[in-house]
Amino acid sequence: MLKGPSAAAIYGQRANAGVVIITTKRGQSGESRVSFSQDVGFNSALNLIGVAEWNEQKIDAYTSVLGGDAAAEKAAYNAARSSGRIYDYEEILYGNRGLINQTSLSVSGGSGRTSFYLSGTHRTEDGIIQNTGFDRSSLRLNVDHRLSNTFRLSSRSSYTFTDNERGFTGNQNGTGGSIGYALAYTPTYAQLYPDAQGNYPNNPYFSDNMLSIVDNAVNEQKVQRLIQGIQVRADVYQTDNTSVSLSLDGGIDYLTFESMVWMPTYLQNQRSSSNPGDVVHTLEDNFNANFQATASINTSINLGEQSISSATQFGFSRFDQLQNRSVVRGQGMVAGQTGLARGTIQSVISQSIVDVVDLSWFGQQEFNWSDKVIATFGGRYDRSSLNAAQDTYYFYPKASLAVNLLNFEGLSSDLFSQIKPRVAYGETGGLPNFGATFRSLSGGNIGGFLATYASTRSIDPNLKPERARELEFGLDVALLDNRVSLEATYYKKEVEDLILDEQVPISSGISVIATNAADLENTGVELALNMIPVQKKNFGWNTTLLYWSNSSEITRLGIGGFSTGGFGTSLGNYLIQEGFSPSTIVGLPAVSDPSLYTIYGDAQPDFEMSWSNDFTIYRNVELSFLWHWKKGGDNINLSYLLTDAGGTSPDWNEPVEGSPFLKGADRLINGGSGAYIEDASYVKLREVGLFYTLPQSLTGTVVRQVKVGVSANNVLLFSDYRSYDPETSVFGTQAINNSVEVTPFPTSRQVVFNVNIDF
Amino acid sequence: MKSTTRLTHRLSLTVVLSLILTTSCGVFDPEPIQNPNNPSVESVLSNATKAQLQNLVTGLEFRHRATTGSNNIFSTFGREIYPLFASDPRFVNQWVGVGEGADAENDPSFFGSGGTYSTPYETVLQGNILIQSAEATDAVSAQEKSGYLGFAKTLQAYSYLIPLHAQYSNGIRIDVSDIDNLGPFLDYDAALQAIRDLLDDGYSDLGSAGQSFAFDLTSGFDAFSTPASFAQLNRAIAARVAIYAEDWAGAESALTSAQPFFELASGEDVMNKGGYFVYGNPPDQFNPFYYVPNTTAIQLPMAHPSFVDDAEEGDLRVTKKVFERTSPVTLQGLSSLYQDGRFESTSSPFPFLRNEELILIYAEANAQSGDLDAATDAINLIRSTWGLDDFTGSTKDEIIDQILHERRYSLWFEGGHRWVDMRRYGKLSDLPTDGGQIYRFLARPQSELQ
Repeated sequence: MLKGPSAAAIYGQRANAGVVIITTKRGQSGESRVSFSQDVGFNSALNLIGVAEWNEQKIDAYTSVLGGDAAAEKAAYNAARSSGRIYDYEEILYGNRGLINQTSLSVSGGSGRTSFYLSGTHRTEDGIIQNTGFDRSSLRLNVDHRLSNTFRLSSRSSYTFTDNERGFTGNQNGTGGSIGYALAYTPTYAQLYPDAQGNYPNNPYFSDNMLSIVDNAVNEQKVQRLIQGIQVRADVYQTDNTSVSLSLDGGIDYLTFESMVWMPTYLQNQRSSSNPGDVVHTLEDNFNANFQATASINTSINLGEQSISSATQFGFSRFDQLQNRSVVRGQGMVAGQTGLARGTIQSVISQSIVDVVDLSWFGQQEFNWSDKVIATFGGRYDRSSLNAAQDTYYFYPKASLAVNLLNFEGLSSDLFSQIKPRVAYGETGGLPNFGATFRSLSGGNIGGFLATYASTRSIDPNLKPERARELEFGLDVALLDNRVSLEATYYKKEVEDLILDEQVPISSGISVIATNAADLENTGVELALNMIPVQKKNFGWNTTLLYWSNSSEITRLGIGGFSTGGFGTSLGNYLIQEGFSPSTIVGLPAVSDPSLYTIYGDAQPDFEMSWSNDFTIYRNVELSFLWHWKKGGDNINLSYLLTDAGGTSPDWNEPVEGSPFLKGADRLINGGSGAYIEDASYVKLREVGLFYTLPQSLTGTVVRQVKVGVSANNVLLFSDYRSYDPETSVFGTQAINNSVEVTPFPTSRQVVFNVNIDF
Repeated sequence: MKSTTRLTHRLSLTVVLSLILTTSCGVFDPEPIQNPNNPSVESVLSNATKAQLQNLVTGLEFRHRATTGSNNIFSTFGREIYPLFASDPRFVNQWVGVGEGADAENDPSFFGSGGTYSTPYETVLQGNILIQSAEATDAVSAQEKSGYLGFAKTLQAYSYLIPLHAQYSNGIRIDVSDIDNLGPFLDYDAALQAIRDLLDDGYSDLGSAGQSFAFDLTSGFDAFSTPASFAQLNRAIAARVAIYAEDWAGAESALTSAQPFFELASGEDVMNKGGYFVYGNPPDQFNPFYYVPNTTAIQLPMAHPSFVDDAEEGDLRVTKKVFERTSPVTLQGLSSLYQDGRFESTSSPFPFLRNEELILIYAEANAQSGDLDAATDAINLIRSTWGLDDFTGSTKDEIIDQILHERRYSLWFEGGHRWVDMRRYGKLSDLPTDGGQIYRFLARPQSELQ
């Protein structure tokens, strides 16, 4: 993973957020090898929130503030209590223990000029909510073939099929369906279990009976993905000191996505619809293709003790993306049917196409002087159809310098094995979103007529890519035979011409224009300390401590400041304003300061640390674990807003000094915007693994190795944050807007037992 | 060794040749990507065809219909309804004003206020695009062009009134045709005058638009499908604006020109003559105010209990507009037993201006200008239609109070008249607060503050 522009610059205009490079196994000629692996384990909820107790006083306290018929509620409560039908619905909904099962088989081998690697995996996983989980099957084939001494050909193919049952959690609008939302409003004495005929009663406290949603509603996704890459490499010229090679890389990545959300006619939210029975089908085709031609020239000059080597690379690449997505809906469905044609009302919600072409010319030169000084510079000319000027090329340079001090004469040391100061500079781009350069006439229908109307998005004809310039200083030190090493990095990344949706005066009828509105500065520190405290024959310990922190500030804002994201300022959202970090969380009341609103927090953590450890005991026992500590950083916890409104927050019933209300009601009524913006610090034990390799004496000649073990993810969580997991976001992984939660799918702890046999 | 080199050369040549071949297919210089999903705005701004203009006309109707987006919030401010939408506690906290810090008058991003501002201005923008397109094409005659202009300006004027109601003393922008050079904020009175001028412009355009429009309108405009009849709708809107401007003579004269749409008579059909927003099944939209009777979803506007409690015995408007549910809907301390029963189905039309309002405008203008008998007669046309005895008040104040009462019941939840009416007569403090606040206006939106 290449994080900053100084590392990722060679990837150009799409690399502002960093680059992930994935390499896969290749086969080896010789004896064929077969490997079999079996996992069995389970998912369980990492952390449940709990629910407030209900009793007569609580009912009085709740109804006097939030409404409802106290007498009727008390009667319902007493009836439930006397018949022993008080339920912890959170435990009932999220308390499922889901089975995990994974089988993998791989074969690799080859002979002469050809080698291959073939593998297949099948995984099934059940979620912590009944009827959720997924099945995934994947197949991979890597083939390498040497055509001649000059030509090499390799092919990488993979196919994956995933069938995902997602369940219903998270945010909802008027339409219903989120069990998390319904749970927040449902007291423990609500009676939601079906009668003897299997009819689920209505939930009088919300629009849905969660148990019925879990048992009857469907939210499934089927994803198929085919990736095929081909590389032809030609070593066209080769002498002792110089080599020239050409390579052609081409690949396609084809993904189809098919989803269905189905609410059968008899669900509570459907019974209150004028056309009960609702199904939405989404079909999406994604086709990505890339092509790259690269020439590499490596040469070296030896001058006695000294040598200078040079590596030159240049080439061309092209990336094409074509996406087609259709969303169709049927309402008033025939009972039990999900086909669109079985609906009273059949509609197309949307059909949209994304079409993008990127081109790039690139080059890079590296000089290496006897591993004492390594210098690199390079650059790319990139163009993209996402820019307003589709055929304009933008230049992204990069350069780096590293010095291995200990390789200079007279500087070698017994204690240190490496002292390497380094500096790197790079520029990368960030492209506008598709559609940001089109001013559309949208379509609609009214009274049998076809309407076209100006969309609320207008365009900036001068929109150009964002440009991130990163300067990075680092020092790599290793000592005691590399048993202790430290990599320290300080970076300063200035993003110029950040693309923001400018919120123009809406009296123009236009709401947003994507424009190069701002400059952003990020500075940060990354430290990696690796140590091998013990390196004995029968005991080894390898430990790595990482520390990283970042701070951001908008240094220029060419448009007026505004708040954005979340669910509006009254519930807390993010401030975009000169002099502030874009992760600043603001809420009501509005103020006349530059901050526009009252500041309640910042989503950016003070720092984060991780600590990983690997122990090897008697050579065949391996133990590893990984801790993660995030200090600071605030979330907007709207789950708690909803449980306060529903009276179910675990601390709802606690008295508050000086307030006539109990805690939950007090927060809701007197808390204002700040009540649900809270610190999301945590310490997590992310991974633990314990593996045992059977001694060679126990395995025969056919079986090379047998390894058994147990591993776990999300093992422990320590946090004062008042929800399932401080690491959560209803909006997914957006740049800002990534710390808001609304009744999410609770995080699972996974424990898996594993057997791996190599033949 | 020799042979491999030759092979190398041959293959290299092949690679180079294939690169050259692909070049000719635009690999290195592809065609620009056009918007694959929608036509562009620019495509209609010059030389638009009649078919394109028809789509823009319908687009203006489409935007015009979206102005119902202010109905829930204005009707909550005027305590015609409770917004019992459980999906978000802010409907009650912010709109009714019971939540800590809820302050529509000072919060520039007040929750759920888009319908009071952005939506009507989107209608204005669409009107401007229609006007620009009609003016920059040879596909229509001068007479036909006047029809487009009169239609567009009339609906623009209707829309301007919505942000003006919301912003009130803050004033609004009227000149918004150039996004880079938006006009100034006009105060309430100046903005009303500008809206009236726009209506007069449109009226004069309609007068030179000939016998028929060059475009078709939906059935919501059946009563106004020609330039002459559309001009009556224009005058009806002018009468509405005139009473806000307290130009009583102007209101009366506008009503005179709004005849025969404006009709001083009794009977339900007479009352319900007017302009409607039409709805239908997809790809059209459902009537957003239709809810299944006795729905168990707590996700609907409910009649404010005072609407029923304060009603006169036997007022048919109450029984025709709301019905008593089998169980009340309760949310965040607010509870009502009365659900909106005006609509048969998701396809029922929603009125945006009816003759019943014009009769009440007539009554108000006459009462204010001293013709109390004419005012009383008009009130009684309404009352007799809805099964009530004649009104017998005699002073001007009594008559105005009665008109406010009749407007409350005749125009219930049809855009939020009560809030505006009570504000006009300085009676906002008479509205029930329900533990919250009665706002006078909404703060100017954040995006306008720069």
